[in-house]
Parts: sequence; structure tokens; C-alpha cells
Amino acid sequence: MKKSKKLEKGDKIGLVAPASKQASKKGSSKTLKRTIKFFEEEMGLKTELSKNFKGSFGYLSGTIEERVSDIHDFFRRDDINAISCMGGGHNSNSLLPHLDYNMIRENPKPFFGTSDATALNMAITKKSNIVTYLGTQRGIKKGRGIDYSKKYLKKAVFSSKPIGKIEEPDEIAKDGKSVYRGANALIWVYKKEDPTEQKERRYIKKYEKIREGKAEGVTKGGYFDLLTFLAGTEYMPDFKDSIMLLDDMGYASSYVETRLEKMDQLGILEQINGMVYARPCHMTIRDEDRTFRHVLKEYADKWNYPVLMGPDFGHSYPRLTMPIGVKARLDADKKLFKITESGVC
Amino acid sequence: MSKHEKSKEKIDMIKPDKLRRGDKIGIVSPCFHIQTSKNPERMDKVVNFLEKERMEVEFGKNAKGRYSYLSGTVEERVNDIHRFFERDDIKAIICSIGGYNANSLLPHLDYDLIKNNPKIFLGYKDINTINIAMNEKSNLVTFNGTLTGGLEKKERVKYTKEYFKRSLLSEKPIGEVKEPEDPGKCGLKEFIWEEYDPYTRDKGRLDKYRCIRKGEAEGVIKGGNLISLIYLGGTEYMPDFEDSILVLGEPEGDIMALEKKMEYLDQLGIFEKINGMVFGRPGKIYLEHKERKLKDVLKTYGDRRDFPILSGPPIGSHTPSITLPIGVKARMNSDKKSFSIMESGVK
Repeated sequence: MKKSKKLEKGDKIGLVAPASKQASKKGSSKTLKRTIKFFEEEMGLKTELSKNFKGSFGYLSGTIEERVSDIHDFFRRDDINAISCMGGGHNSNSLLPHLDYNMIRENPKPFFGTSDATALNMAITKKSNIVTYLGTQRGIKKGRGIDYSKKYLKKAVFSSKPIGKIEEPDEIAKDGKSVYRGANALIWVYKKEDPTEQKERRYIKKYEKIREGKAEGVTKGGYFDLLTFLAGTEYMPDFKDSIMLLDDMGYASSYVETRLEKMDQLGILEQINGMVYARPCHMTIRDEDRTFRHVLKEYADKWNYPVLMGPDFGHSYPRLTMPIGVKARLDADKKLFKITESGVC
Repeated sequence: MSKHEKSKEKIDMIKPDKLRRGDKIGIVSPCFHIQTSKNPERMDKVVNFLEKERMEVEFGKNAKGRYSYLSGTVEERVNDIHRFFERDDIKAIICSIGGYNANSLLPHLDYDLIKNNPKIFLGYKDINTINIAMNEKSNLVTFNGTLTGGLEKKERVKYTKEYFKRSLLSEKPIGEVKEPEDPGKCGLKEFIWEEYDPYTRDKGRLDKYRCIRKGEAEGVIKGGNLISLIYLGGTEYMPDFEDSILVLGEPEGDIMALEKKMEYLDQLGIFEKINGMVFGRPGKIYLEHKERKLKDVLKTYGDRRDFPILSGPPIGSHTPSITLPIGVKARMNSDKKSFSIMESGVK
């Protein structure tokens, strides 16, 4: 793994929109303002938007060529020190055959992606052999545990020391409200056999042990849905001896099961040493006899690896900055997840 | 060697016997349970239809079972399929409803048993993972089609029944897949996504046959439900698409997600191999975009890999739908909006 240089105050971060259109989506200017404010005022970085950031090509921010050239441009330029994707959406995977992975390897920079953009993270880490980071700080709001996000962004890329133990965020934000609200860490639980389809809101507030055990390995993974779309292609990460990171959002147990079965059929679950399942957002539980927890445990029992649920490298806020391609240690009983290697030097 | 000669060598498909009056049909539930409160009588309608055609029906031991959202454990679901394939008095196996998690069964199916006891196997939606795997691993012609969905609404069942009979009750080639007069409720473009005005209802329909990219092609029908192909991608159950006509049934969702799926199939190398594509009549497309429509996305891939595309044939779980044999020869001509199945799936 090639490592990039750590960030310093005054460095410049480039923002790209590799998939869905950012320009005129409802509320996107507010979101963008908040993101820029976070990087500039809280992190002391300069920011620059890529050439096609506000572009428009149907629902996309640009053609494949435009979107790829934005990423290439930022990797090539010496005055850009880090690159963050703005939103996710769909169709980051269209860029994968067109990226210049050798050039990216020659110009390693911290690269941040969440959701659909983790296709880029996984492909770049695999093909360019550089550490990339799960976790963009898109539209981050004060009061949503901004200090936690800041702390882990600093630990991840502003210091060449390993991040170390991932602490749980405070559940109550500074404004006295729970940080978990809205779609954040929400699960809908339907009452069994209820024709009126009543559902109950619940939040996943604490880290949970899904299956016991300890493991060490290299962090690999990203948005779970995206992994389905990398499987069988040359961009799929090599999961041998890894700690698999999965981020899930908006699905029911049956979907989790379908995709885990696919991963199993690809031989991946047999190869991994452990699994960390990010705090899921907006999940649906139709039947409490068989929730996604049961499904996760079933496959873990089959292949004998520990599973911890909770660390916020997915869609939840406050959000971690989680390196992929570095060594980590997992102890599910103690709910301990520790990053033991730095992604920058 | 031409492309077609090569395909002739490869194809050694096993066709099951056609259905005859008095035959016994086994019903299985390889995905979800059928104890649904929404439509409790839908299985009765299927049974009534089959009995009217003078066929006997037997439910698998686990067909009415329930294990959370599933009909049973993997073992229970697999056993039901195996028992019916083993029995000589069962002539066809029909799946009750779809759902998810049919792919959990794939590593546990006995493909030799299936190969040595070929029978009609009919299922729709997620069951298609099984259809495709059986076609690939046992070389058995399997059928993608609906009975539960297709028999619910009286006015549209004529077409569904006609193609059910053409596919399963006769050894004559199925022939032209006609455009249904009443395409049903599916194919409705639900919403158009516009900036700052996300959910404007749009009456545009996608259910007519449309030529997306001109051309003619011949090949073996491969594919089925689009989502099933996504779940099979990269596994050993994914078919070889060399010289095939790729049929994508029941595509639905957002236009953006559909583009992601198309890109995935391309990255798996499928579009390079196929001779043509039949893009089934969509289910609901929740988000279309004014400037980049579904047809633009499809045409991009057709142009990139040079194959003709016809959209619209009714394939999937909506009413009306055809009973599509997987693994038989077909011909398409998108200029003439024609899709013709040149063989029968049964003997």
C-alpha cells in the first residue's frame, strides 16, 4: 500500500461530484455551503470545486469523460492535497473502466467517498494500491456531533499516527437533542401479522456484538449495495484476510440475506477474518423472528468470524473517516474496533 | 467458424415433456411464504385454473410453510424441489410466488438429479435465479412466467393464458410474441424528476414495443428477471452469454439505478457477447429524467457494443405476461418490432 502525505492546515481539498448531479438539486447549495464551511472553518483547509462540479448531464453531473477528467485533474495537480466526493447517488461505477490507476498511484492523496462513491474508493484502493477513506462530510450540521466527525477526520489524515480505538460518539449532541434522528440510524419495525401495517421507529444507538470473537486484518469494503455491483469485475476488492466493512441503508432483512448469500457464493465470507457492519440507516424489519441481525449472525456462524455493528463509516452522522487498506483489530465481545496502521505518512 | 455455428455446438439443451391433460403438477414456494394477508385467495385461483385445464395439483410439503419472511429453511425449500423432481408422477413444478432469497438455494440444488429427471420448472421474479442456474448447470430449458400474478385480473388473463398454453402445452414453436392489446397497469412511468419539482406525475407509458436500436439478431434466449442477473453476477451460476439474445424481464426502479445495473452487466463482459437485447416491458420506473431517458441509457450500451435493442415485450410478473422459455432459439428484428421464439421449450 502506498501512503499519501498527511494534511496540514492551509492545504487544499478538491471537491468532486462523480455521480449524481449536484448543481440544482433541491437544497444542494445549502448542503454545499455547509460542507465548505466545515472544511474551511473547522478544519482550516482551502477548498476548490472541480470544473464540472456544478455540471449537468441528465441526472448526472457530467458525461463519463467530464467526471473522470475532474478526478484526474485533481490527482495530477500538486496544489490539491486531498479529494472528497460530494454526494453519492448512482453511476460512479461507470467511471471505473476509465480511471488512470497508474497515474493515481503516482500521485497518492487522501480520497473520501460515501455511499455510491465508495465504488471509486474500492477500485482505487484495489488497482492503485493506495489507502482511501470511507466518509465524506457532506452537509455536516452543527449539533449532529460535529466534534466527533472533526476528531476522527483529524486522526485519520492530519496525523501519521494510527487512529487507534474507535470510540462511540455521544448520543446526546451539544444542543441537548439526540444525534440520532430523521433517517439517521433509524429502523422501522413492522408489527407481525398486522393488516394495518403499523410500524414503530427505533434507533440503533449503541455498538452491538452480532457474533463473538477476535480478528485482525486489513480493512476492505464500502457500501454493501455497491459491492453487489463490483462482484465479478476486476474492481472487486480482494477480501482475503480482511476485516470486511459493510455499510447498509434502506433495506429489509431479505435484501441483506440475498446479498450476503451472493458474497458467500463468491467465496468472500470464507476468506474474511472479521466483519464490521456500520450503523445501518433507514432499515426495515418486517418480522422480528428474522432480522438483519439474525441473518448476519447466521453467515458468521457458518464461517466463524466475529461481527461488530455500529462504527459510523456509513450513512449515519456523526461520521467517521475510515481508512480502507490498513491493518485493524476487532474484538466483538469488548465492542472494540481499533485501527492499528495509519493511512498517511 | 461463424458465430452461429459455434453456438450450435454448445447448445445441448434438455427439453421437458409438454403438459398433458391429467398430469400432476407440484407447487413449491422457494422464496417467501404464501400466508399473505393481502391476497389470500391467489393460490386458489391458480389451482382453479389448472384444474379447469384438467390437471391435478399437489402442494409440496413446505409450500404453505412459514419461517419468518421465508417459506422455510434452505433445507426445507430445497427438499420440496428435489422430491418433486424425483417423482415420476409429477410432470411439472410451478412456483407459487417470488420474493427474495431464492439464491440461497443454488449451492444446495442437486443439478444432476434435475438433469436426469427433466420437468417443466416455472417461476417468476426472484425465482429466476433458480431458473437461470438450472438452465446453466443442468442444461434444462426452464420457464420464466407468472401464474399467480397473471390470473388475478380477468380482463388481461386471456393473453397470459394463451402464452402459458403455447409454451407448455404444445411442442410447436411458440412463434411471434405479439404486443398485447391491453398492456395492463405496468409500464407506467410513475414520476418525472425535475429540478425543484421532484414528483410531478407523468402519464407517459413505456409499455409499447419500441425500437431502441435498429438491427436484427438470432440467438439463444438467456437471462430473465434483471435483478436476478445482478444477484448471479460473478458467481458460478451466471450463464455464458455467447451468441445469446439477452432478455431482461421486469426492469424497474429509478432510471439512475437502471444505468448502474446496465454498466455492471457491461463490466461483466455480457454486452460484448450478446447478439441482441430484448428489454422487457418495465414495471414501475419511479424516476425518469427529461434529458436522459431510459432509451438514451440503453442506446448508449447498444451503440458501444453494437447490438439491436427492442423494448416492450411483456416478460415478468405483471399481467399480461408470456411464459418465456430460457435456453431456446429466438429471433428479433427491432425495426419491425418483432420478437419471435423459434422453438418450443417442451417436447
